[in-house]
Amino acid sequence: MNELFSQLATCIEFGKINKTAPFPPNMKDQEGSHEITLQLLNQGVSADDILQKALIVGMEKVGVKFRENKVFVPQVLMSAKAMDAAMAHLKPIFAENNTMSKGTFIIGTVEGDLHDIGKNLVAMMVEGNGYEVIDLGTDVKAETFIAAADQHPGAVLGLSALLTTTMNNMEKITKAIKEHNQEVKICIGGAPVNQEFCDRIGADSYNPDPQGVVEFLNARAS
Amino acid sequence: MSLQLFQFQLQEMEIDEDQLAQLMGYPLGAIPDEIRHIIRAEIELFPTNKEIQGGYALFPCRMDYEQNTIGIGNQEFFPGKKLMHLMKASTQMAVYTCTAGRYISERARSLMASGLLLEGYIVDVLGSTLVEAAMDRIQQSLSDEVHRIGLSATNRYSPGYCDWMVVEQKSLFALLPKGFCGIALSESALMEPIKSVSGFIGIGVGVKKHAHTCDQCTATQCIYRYKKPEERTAPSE
Repeated sequence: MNELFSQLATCIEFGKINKTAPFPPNMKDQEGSHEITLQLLNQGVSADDILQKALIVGMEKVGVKFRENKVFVPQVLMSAKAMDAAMAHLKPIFAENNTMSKGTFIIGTVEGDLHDIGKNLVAMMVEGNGYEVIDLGTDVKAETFIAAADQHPGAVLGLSALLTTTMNNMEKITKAIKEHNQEVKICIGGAPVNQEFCDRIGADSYNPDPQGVVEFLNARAS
Repeated sequence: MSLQLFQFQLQEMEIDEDQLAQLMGYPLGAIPDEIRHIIRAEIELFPTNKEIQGGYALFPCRMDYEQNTIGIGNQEFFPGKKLMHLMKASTQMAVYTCTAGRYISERARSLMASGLLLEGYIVDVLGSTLVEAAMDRIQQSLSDEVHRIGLSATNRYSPGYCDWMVVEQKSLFALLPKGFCGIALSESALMEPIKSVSGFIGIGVGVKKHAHTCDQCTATQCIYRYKKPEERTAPSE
């Protein structure tokens, strides 16, 4: 059993989706996350164990390697594909059992900004680490963040911005959310953002990479 | 105002797959086959019309090194001290804009929206590469033209670089004919199509073109940031 968990974690780490997938070349013709997840389920392993002991383990490794510049965005996205292939089997079980996720994370690119790659990367890494992710998309206004936070009490909000101009909207939105509900925790990220800016606008966490967001959420969830 | 417009097909652009992979972070020559395959498949799908277009308008400019402002016509720009230095001695300004076109921006968006994040990301980077490759050609044409009359041209600098606020794109676009190159600005000064660039190229007798100016810029995560040869080596896992 442990061997299969380890194999599945490796599939996630290196983005091996299924047996026919040509990537990565050194895992050609080997089973991928799709087949191994099915094998584990057929052996009676719980969906939660598969998520905790294999999928999250693989995603964490990718997140750390990405932070250390040992892998790049395409490889992280390959891992996401492998994760999706496994989750396609697990999600119906979680839904049927009404299993609780580790928490809810609401993410969006702030008003005025249409860039979404960084946001998607964070969303994918957070989801891969066992959280429910609600993606509000791009060009998201303060009232949309506030409404989503009201609908999901206890959820953490993630605000993304790529541009110096839209950083100003990030400040405006953060202040509006905090004014509405001081208890809502807000993570911010994006190319022009830094810790100093985070402190100045009253956000709760700045992270330069997706794994940092996962670690912030894990610290709160534990 | 002297206005020049250029239009290109993707097939004219000689896309360097290794360069594209480097923009995604890969060391030279380390592009995985899977990524190469997606790049080629997407290039095959690209429309054959002249989607990629760009151009510039030449204006006399007023450089104020005390206030760090550039005046062009009735517009005033505040690019910051560093860019003022880099464009020092400019007597004319080429105000440029360029776009990879609507198709590639929409294609990246629709791939991402349908969950094909890897493919969407690769198309997004392809769009960035195309618009920069087109601007390289336009800049070369401008440099050739000004050299013929004994002038030189600086690097190209965009709002968003160094301390130059993106919002000044509104003043920049006010200098160009409405809808020039099919680019529109949003309320927050973002260009649409999203794979578009705009900025200034300084022109004058004593202006300088630098090999790279990344050390002047605070955008440390920028995919175009200059890397020393030893920083381009393959990472170890």
